[in-house]
Amino acid sequence: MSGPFELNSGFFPGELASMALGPWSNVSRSESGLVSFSSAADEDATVEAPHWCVDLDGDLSQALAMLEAGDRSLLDTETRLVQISDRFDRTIEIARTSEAGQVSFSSEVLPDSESRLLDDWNDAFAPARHGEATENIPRAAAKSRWSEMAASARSAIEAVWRLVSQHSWVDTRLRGRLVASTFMTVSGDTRLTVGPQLTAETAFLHRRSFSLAVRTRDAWARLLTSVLQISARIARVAAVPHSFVTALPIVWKFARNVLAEIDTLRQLSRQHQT
Amino acid sequence: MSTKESEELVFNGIDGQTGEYLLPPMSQADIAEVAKGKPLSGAELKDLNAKARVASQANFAVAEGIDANDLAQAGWAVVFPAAEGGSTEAKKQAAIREALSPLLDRRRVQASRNNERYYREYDYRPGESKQKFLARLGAAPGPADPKKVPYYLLLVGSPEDIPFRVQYQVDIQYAVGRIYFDTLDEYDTYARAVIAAETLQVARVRKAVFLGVENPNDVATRLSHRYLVNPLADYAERDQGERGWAVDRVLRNQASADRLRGLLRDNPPAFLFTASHGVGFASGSEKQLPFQGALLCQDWGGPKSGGISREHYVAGEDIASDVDLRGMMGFHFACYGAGTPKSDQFARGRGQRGNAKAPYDFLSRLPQRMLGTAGAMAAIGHVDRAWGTSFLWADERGKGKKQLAVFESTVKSLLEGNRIGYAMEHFNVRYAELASDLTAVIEDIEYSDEEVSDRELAQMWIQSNDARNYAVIGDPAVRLAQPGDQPDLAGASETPHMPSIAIAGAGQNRPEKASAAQSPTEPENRSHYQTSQHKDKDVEMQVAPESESDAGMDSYGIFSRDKDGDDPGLLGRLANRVSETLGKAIADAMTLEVRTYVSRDVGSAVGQDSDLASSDHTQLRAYTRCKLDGDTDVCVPLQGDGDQVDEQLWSLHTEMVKQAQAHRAEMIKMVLSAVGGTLRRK
Repeated sequence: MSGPFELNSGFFPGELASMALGPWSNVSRSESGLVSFSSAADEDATVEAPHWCVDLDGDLSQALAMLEAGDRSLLDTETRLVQISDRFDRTIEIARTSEAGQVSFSSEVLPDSESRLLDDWNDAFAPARHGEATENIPRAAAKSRWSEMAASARSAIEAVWRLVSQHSWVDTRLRGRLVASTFMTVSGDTRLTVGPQLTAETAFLHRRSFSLAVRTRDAWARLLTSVLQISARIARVAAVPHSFVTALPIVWKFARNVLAEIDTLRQLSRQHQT
Repeated sequence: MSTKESEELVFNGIDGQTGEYLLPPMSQADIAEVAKGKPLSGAELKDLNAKARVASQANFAVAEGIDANDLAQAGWAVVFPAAEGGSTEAKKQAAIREALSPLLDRRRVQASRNNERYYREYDYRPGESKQKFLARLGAAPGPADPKKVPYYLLLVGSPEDIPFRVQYQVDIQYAVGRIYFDTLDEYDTYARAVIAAETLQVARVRKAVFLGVENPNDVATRLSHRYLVNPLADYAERDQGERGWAVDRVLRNQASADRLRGLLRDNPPAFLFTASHGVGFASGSEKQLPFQGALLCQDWGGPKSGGISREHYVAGEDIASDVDLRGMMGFHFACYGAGTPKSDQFARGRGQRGNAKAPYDFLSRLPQRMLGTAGAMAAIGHVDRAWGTSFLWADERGKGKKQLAVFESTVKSLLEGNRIGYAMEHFNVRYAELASDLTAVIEDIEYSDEEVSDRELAQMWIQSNDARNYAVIGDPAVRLAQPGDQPDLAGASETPHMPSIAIAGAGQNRPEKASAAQSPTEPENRSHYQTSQHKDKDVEMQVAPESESDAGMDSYGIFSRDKDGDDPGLLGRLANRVSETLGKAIADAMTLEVRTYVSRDVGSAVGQDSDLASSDHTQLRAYTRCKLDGDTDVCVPLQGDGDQVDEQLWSLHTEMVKQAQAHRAEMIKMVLSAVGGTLRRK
């Protein structure tokens, strides 16, 4: 395993490989060697279901420290997820007021995620509102950029959808030894299997591991619904054809950038400490 | 209607062009002659007698012991007009069915909880009488037996396809409602709106508004104001005030068209009752289809004031596309409030202008727009003329006496959350009683020369027809939300499903959409379905080519079609799949199960999707099942062969239950938020 928290899934495109939520490292099933050699239909069933693997130190205090770190990391992600919608709306409001000439003369600099969102937004939507195009899917260079974003968003959204629409397993290992495994369906039906020599410590560690995994899966689902919600909201107010599908890649990219800020902050923090 | 000194009867219904009464006053003798010429058939009479007989029973709607408000006990069915396989009509029906599929799926889950046959989809064959229709489905006369035919029946079709008469007659023993819209988009809007209301995504203030018009020098509205609206509002306030209903009265000078438009536009009440004239137009008038049945408000100066102008009445076109009436019910006492039949029964044989009322039977545009555009749950209205006999009963001296029991009972039933089709049983029982009494009187006249006054006969005949002609526009199973209601998520899997038919075309109701559809960005091969009760030549229904339809290419709803098969369509389709999946998870989440196994080989359990079989290696030790309504089953693990609870295992198990519940709650919250806040279009 690449770390104590590993999410194995049969379908992690490049777009998602580097976009982990919480403490988890995303590993495509083919990379982890858990590929099926059965028929295509069977493969679909076995390869896709995600496997949340937590491999903890045998020492309880070390294991607890690992889980605490995982909790903090997930909390960062959950906090950012909550911000996405408001930050998006504020940025789009800036785009609209700028168009109307209500520009601010302050020297405030927008965060990088917001700046990029403004660029993407103007590429995609400004021409239609100015009457320069009859459709709001941008042309030429802008269209090319948008197409790349759309392809990327499509594969990423599909991967996230597969992740949250499948049942999953959560395994807790102590130094590589499997001590508890839980199977959970999308709607929450749960099947726990533990060994006969269940100790209080093992039970506690699995409970925490399971909680982390479920919360992270919920975070992925929330990310997905947020992106859809924001895109649909735009579709309603934009009142131009294709506005939903035009907005979807832009919103996805913005959400991804906001979540990536966590890594940037961590790196800065590490640099500061050293 | 009112009785004047001259023993003439004055009717509701004002000619929208002349401002005169649509039908000149008729003498009671004339009416009596009409009545004698229209006895009921033997089969109809049998049904009506049976209905009247069982009306005294506590539960008169369905077979004994069945809770009519529980769809799992009463059943629910949808009825489409029959169409030959592969025909244009069949494709149209299939498109409508698909547009309604979120609602149908929900009803299927609700009704088939105990018996899958309690949800049905039927067809109505042209020319079938009510008896033949029900007999073909296996139902005999008498209370509805959901094992044979479900109690709630939603007719989906124009009154030309499924006649008003069949609706009235089936309604005697069943709870019947009808929807028919001009565009598939409206079916889709309606289906979503009902689901949004039933899953409590929209919350209407518990306010009932009673609007009563009293036009100057107009007998009919003077009576309806004095003897219907005012006392009914008093009753509702008295009876329902403690149940949290606020009652507002909008009467006489307040009851202007602007006020009514405002009520329908800004913060609409959960329940709106109106009593007024309905506007009528001569058969074939270009104003008839859009405006017939529109509610004539206080603005009109009465029969002596001359013509009626457009500002005087509230019509379907006043319901703008951004109006939100989800969760609301309307009850409109007015001529043609629900629809207009082709021929006029009341003027038959008199050579009156009203003999041919319309080129064909049609539904009124106002309730259509309220439901299909603004998402109201249902509207009760009158097909043909509405009569004062609905709330006035003439005593032996011919003097009108207020009789509001049927209205009071129906309003009470609605406000207390009964399903609308069931609440209308009070009108059905009244019709059954009146019609069977009337037929008995006519038989007496024919066979025993019994003396019956014209006044009595006319009164009975009008009352009977009047009671019969109340109709529900909408799903008969909808109900007003009540305090303490939990979101009924049954079948909500399809709630967030985007409309799967691309609607566009020349829908007269939605010009803004028509123009969007015609924009150059739209694909040339986009399927345009247009259902219409308009018979004009210039309104056509275009059906998608077979191959396109079969290929499922028109399945991404508001996400629109990609122009060249590229990204937008794929993204849209993907978004639909996501929303479907999340929605289905809700349906699965009605029951939550947590199992805990102890295994000597934990690894062997990994990768098995199905439940583990107990074996020497693996044993099921703890089990919890919780239903969304709180019902819980628990099996607690014991230590070894003893009677001590295995605390260690039990603690872990209960923790897993908590986490599973938390996950389920989070998932439901997410899906509802997506559905309620964004993925719906309103």
